[in-house]
Amino acid sequence: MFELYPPDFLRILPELILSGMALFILTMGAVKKAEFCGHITTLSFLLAGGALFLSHKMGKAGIGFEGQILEDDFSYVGKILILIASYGAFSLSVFPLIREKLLSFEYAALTLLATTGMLLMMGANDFINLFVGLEMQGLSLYVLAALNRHETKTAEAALKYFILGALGTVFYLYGAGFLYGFSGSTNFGVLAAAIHMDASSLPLGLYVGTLLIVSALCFKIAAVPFHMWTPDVYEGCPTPVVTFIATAPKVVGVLVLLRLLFYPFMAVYAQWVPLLLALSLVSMVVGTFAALVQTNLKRFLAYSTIGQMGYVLLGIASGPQEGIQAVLMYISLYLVMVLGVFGCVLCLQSKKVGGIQTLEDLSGLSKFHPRLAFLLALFMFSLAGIPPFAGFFSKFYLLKAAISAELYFFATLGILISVVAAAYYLRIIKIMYFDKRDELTSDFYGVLSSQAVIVMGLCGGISLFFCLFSDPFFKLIHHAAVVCAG
Amino acid sequence: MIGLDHYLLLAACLFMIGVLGVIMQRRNLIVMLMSIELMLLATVINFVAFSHFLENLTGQIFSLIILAVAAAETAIGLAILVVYFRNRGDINVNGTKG
Repeated sequence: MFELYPPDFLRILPELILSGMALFILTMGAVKKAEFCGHITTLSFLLAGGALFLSHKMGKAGIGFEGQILEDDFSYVGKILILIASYGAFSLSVFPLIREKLLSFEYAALTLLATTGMLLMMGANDFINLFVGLEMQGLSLYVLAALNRHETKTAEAALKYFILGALGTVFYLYGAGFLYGFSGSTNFGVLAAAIHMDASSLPLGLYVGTLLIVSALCFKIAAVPFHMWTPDVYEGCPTPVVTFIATAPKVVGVLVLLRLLFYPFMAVYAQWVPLLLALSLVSMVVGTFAALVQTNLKRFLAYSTIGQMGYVLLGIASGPQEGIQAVLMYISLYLVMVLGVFGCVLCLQSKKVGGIQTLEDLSGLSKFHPRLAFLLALFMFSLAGIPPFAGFFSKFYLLKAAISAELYFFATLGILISVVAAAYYLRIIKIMYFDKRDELTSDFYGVLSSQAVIVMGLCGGISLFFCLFSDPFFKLIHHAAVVCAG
Repeated sequence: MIGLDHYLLLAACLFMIGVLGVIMQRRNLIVMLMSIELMLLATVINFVAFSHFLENLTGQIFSLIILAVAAAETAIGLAILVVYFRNRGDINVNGTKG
């Protein structure tokens, strides 16, 4: 019979801390100021990180709660990335939100609840648990997206995000239903064993279920053709919230996709690889070529994200071991660069008509804000994949993995597409440094809080010096990749 | 005799009606929310049917959880819809870009 087993609770200690703190903030929000709740949130991220580290050090890896939770090196790395992403996005967004008078205790509580959901997804070993985590982060994010509720554009974007997000969830559930019907259980391990056993004669329902679940996760990571919401949400929602939406949910989507494809669906590898390659191809092409013609800065970033997700999918399709390692590296460096870019964009907000909106508004930035222009240029070089920067290494390992998997066509295409992509990243640098501007509109806010400066400095440092200090990081993701590949 | 296939077919029909409702119906947002609800309930039929014919309770537990989450989802969807209505004065999506 079921009995409570204390080590199980140690395994989900970070989630317990975050959700407890969220409830605490909801209570304190009635009497305390929003800034106080911001400090509590920072504290709870630190506590959750510490708890995660401790429970990992104490060797609490393994399956818990009767097979509901799976803690291993892979989910450990995933949870670290999620906590970094959420903390980074939160610390970058507190100050801009205060200025726009949008900071409320609900923002802090919802960020914590969304992070809890993502950690649950990362540790899930069961479709029920994964669903609850998915919804916990999804529902929190829909509310966050509608934060600036007096703005028509924001409401419209939030509505679009909600409808397409709900569509993704429904696809997931329908797929999970078929997989349940096939294996008689919602557990990943049981499903993996069932697929492995009947590998010779698999029913159609299993393929339909796999397809539906992969497309549901592609909704979350915004791969083409499930990307329709991304540009509108990025453009319409408040930038601090977009910083969050662009980082943590993308990371968790990719990691859960890795976990599902290389654990329960490993036996149908030959069937899902072509699917992912096709998605990767269209994502790369559509993302890159659509980004070329964008004039709005945030829409541009949205399409650039879609293009990057195409590379991630190519990495996943490159097979176990090396592919997983390349994807882990790609997504962690992507996270660092996107946090940095959005940090810069947040610095450029201003009271007058929403600050920097279009790419042309960036012209002459190097004149009246040289440090910010330098930082943004650094991230753009890195995203484009110019050698000494971090982005080069992530693309390099990813394409290397694709070549080892004999995906020559897709690897070549990836290189060619990255040349096209370099054109629009470099265009931003050109606008900042070489385009003249007559009137000096130095009315944007400039530097954020000291916490945000530290986060952005770290992002910049990692993007610049990644090649020098990458060894411990390599070891960590290597272990994770070995565990994930089974 | 009604078997598993019939239930699955019913769920598939309801699901397709829901998908078409979201994709084709581009004017009324309430109808879109209803379509999403319809799809969620189609998945519940799927789970319950499998649960019955496999003689396994997990599917019914899952469907209860789905019902609870669907309620939360609808609440949030309607809240966002109210925000949208307050800003625009109507709930038609004619101005939204595809």
